[in-house]
Amino acid sequence: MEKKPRLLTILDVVSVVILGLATLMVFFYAPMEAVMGNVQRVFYFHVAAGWVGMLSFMTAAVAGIVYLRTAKRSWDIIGVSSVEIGMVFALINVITGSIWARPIWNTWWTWDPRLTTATIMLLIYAAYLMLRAGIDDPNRRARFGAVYAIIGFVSVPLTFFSARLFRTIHPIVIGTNQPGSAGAFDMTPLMLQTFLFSLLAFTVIFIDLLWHRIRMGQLADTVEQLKMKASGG
Amino acid sequence: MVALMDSLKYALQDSPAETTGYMVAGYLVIFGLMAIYLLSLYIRQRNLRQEAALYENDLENNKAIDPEVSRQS
Repeated sequence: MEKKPRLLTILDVVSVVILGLATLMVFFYAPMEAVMGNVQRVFYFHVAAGWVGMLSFMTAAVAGIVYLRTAKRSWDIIGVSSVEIGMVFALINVITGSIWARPIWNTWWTWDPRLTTATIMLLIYAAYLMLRAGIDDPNRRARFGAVYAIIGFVSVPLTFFSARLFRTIHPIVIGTNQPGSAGAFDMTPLMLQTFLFSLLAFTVIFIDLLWHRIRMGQLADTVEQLKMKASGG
Repeated sequence: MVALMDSLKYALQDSPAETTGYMVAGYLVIFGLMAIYLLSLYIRQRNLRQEAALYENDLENNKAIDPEVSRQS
């Protein structure tokens, strides 16, 4: 495996520092929301995790398109790496949303359009990882992954716009809330700064994790080649 | 009607709701899942490195034993 690039080490440090700063801002800089109390602080990382989830799935779809055009193995590694990271953050987004919903909506879960589409999106990408793992031929696996990531991406804008297109109780950050939405609040400037900084922090963490995961994918390829050589293939 | 009830509820509420426990649970999930993923990345990477080293050793040994292999590679 290639030596760890210096830039990646710097990015690791920046990620830790920026996550620490975002956490401090969430707890000590942003004011407590007047109605919901402290649980509203979950919002900053809940939305940031959702953003990274969607960004990851978009990256996977773009990598899928480029793979189908170039057939370069590296794009397949980028695609699967993005989906894996996206799954982690989308899961964080759904679980934290459920925790927030308990005191605010008085229920852990409801089949609201936003929650339903987010769950479908999560299941689509979970199936991506499971189905990929069942294909032995690397070229077929990569082609399947590319096509699936492109088609599966339909679920991403559907999830994003579900709270705007359908009747929903889920509050939205950008745009006007629907009359029936519960748990919406007006962001003060300090809240907005914390929110934007959290988005930045999670984006940096995504880039850092993606780089690490791509290196791992390349190492797995090297191991596969060594295995074939060692077995005389 | 619901909106009216909500407004009334909020108007009568004199202090924020006590929801600190939920906030703590939320952040435990966030940092917990991130930590689990980082750990899984670390373990998988370590296993792959060990596997690579093992195969490299095997290939080196084969070269030493069988000069034909050495010539091929």
